[in-house]
Amino acid sequence: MFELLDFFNYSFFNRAIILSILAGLSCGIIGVWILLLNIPFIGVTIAHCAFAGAVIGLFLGINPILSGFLFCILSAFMISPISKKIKSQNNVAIILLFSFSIAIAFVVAGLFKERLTDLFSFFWGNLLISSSKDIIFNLIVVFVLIIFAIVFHRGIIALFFSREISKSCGIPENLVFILMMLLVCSAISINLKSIGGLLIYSLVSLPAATAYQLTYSLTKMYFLSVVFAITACITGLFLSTFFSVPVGATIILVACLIFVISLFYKKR
Amino acid sequence: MISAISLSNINLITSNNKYILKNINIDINKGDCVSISGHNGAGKTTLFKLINGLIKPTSGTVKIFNNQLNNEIKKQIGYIPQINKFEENIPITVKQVIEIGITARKGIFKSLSNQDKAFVTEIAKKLDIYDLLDVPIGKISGGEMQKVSIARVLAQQADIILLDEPLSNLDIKSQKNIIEIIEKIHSDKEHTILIILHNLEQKPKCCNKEIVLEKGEVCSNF
Repeated sequence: MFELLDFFNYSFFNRAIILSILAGLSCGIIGVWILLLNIPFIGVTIAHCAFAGAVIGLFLGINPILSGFLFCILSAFMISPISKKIKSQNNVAIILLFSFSIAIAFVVAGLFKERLTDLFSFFWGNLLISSSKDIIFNLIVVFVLIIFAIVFHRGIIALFFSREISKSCGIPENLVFILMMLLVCSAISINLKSIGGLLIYSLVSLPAATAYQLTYSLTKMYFLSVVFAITACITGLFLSTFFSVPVGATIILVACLIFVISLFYKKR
Repeated sequence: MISAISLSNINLITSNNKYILKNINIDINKGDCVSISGHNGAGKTTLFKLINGLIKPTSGTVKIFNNQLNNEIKKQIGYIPQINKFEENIPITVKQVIEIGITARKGIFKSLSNQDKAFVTEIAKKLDIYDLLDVPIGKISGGEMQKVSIARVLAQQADIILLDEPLSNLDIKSQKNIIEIIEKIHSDKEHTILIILHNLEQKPKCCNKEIVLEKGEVCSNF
């Protein structure tokens, strides 16, 4: 216990704690959106495209967060046109983009001989190497997410209920959906470095899925999802530091454990 | 008489040059109650989706109260698609669904006033779903879901109500109940109601027009 408290003497650890809270907030909120919009496969695909974008960005010397964000956006808005072109449901386009992004990420990673530490941080993440700049960017994304969730609350509920009905009665569902997707992409790409491209989607989906088991109230679902995501991040951070294992993976294991525990509780 | 819905020379053709709807000309006046029937695949649901703007016609014009369709005009159209069963766990309550009608009318940025909340309560009492207001929509029956959908379009204060097979998958008691509600809504002649029915024997008494579709064409309109 004494050794654990000692970690607080290090500024990098305190930064990691702040970043854990911010990552929990952003992933907790967008997780609820992805789950209730019933687009889990779109979510997982854009998360992996962001990862591929970040790896390519590192290779080309571009800001990896920016390139991750651009790839993310590109993938989110390519799914529908690809589906139309191949006259199929979204699933085929999703499989295509998912496979392509993972393959391209590993091919580029194979070419990478320099900055291996940076590259690996985008694979499984590392909260402990975050900078003050990372905290500021995360803070901005979290702030925008919360404001959007409050201001667009009524429109978001309409979309959760039915996009078709929303459109039929003049609710600007397409605008709300596009803005939600932009924010999902922002939150995913901003957390790539700290959580890791291969694991970020788990932190997005697991806390929301856990909250879904426990409540019928949307407001409570947001709250629980954020609390579970923050708990997973902070507990995972402590455990990984204590046992010297990768942070991102430990966070996801904690999130899985919380989900399993939630199965023993009845919904209220 | 005020024209509520006017469809002129509507054609809807797929990329394979197959007609989904062919040369549709329909005029419906304010206060009409119209039953629409036809075999499966005749184009009934597609016709509704053209009226509420979910689908654009290949050619022809759709006018609602003599206006071209836009988001403002769409607020006057209440659409009730066929029942879709929601997941039991979905954290959306009956009250939130009815409030979507108010969101459609007032816009997404305006919060609900006390008057709006009282209006939702009033509608729920009228449709006998007051006790369900805080129940998640995944937990209610098909008949109750139809009432909730009707409550939603009433909260929207839609002038035109499109009901797509509102009686399908309901037990006889619920079917009678829904028909009674439709007749009650229509009694003031303020609403224009279009109702797709599989079985014309279930037609509400208030229906004063009948449209029969066959293979995308109107085969009788009286």
